[in-house]
Amino acid sequence: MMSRPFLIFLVAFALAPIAVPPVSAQSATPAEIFVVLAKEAPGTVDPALADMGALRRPPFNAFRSMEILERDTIRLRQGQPQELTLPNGRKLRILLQRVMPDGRFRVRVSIKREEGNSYLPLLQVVASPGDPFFVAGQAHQGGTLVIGIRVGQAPTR
Amino acid sequence: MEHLDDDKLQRLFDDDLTEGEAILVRRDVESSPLEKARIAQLERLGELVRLAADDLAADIDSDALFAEIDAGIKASPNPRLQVIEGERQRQKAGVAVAVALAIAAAVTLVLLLNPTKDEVAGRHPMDTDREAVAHEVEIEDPELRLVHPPAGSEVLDVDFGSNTGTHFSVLGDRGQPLAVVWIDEEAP
Repeated sequence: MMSRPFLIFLVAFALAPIAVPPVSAQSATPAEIFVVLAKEAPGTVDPALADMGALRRPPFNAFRSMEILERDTIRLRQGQPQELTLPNGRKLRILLQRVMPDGRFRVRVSIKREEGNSYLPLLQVVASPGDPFFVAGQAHQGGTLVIGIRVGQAPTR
Repeated sequence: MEHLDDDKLQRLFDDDLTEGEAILVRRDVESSPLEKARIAQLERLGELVRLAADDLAADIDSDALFAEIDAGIKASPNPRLQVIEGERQRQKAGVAVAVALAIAAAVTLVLLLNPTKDEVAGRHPMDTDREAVAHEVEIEDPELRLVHPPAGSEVLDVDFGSNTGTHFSVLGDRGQPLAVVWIDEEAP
């Protein structure tokens, strides 16, 4: 007959992989992509951007209105690119290249014009889970597009 | 488009804007003949001030100015305004002697305070005159150590193709650096 502490240990050991799912090459990683139209003209800043303190700091604080045009959550699998159409018709391609040993994500991004030629041929970024990076500068509807990409979820601290 | 405010334009002219701000303001200037004219005006103004300053500096003959002051004092003697040649020379000599004494004192101090090689070699490694500093190191169990990835995001590589652009970091809510890639695109 097995002792009670031993049984508890056995169950805990068996459930451990379920409790903490490792980020592996096979699992899908959530990624959030938001496209903001930022203008220098006075206006409102979308409240949904309240948790994005970086957009209130220079140089973004030069913009006095910010409107979210798109906000998508996709699931990235290593080596499988995903494509999104931006409000200006251009295609944003995002590829999770690898999960680094320290838990960060190496991501490759490119933007193609509607005609097919490259607007941003290559951007390679390494990002901590939940920490965004930004691609800004495309002129659109009298403003500037700011694309924020956040891969993974920030660990609870 | 609204006019750029004077301060922003002046800061662009003075190269006092952040990289990102400069991109935005320069883009606005490039797309507006009026803003271009205002920048040109600032440049002209700057050039005029520089030329005026150069002229002013060239016109001042300091020797003549002091000779004039000297002559003026002699012409209308005032007990509180007189040139005392002897005193000035004595002061100069006094300063020279003081400087020489200070240098000599510094050299003596260095020689007295620095131990000779023999003194250093003769000192025992367990010399109790020296202050012993103990560092307490807490060795944690490597099995229990939690690994946190470095916070933030950073650019590893970027190719702007036929565009121009730049990349930099902004601080996130926790002070972590967040990568920003800024592509310079002319307004259509």
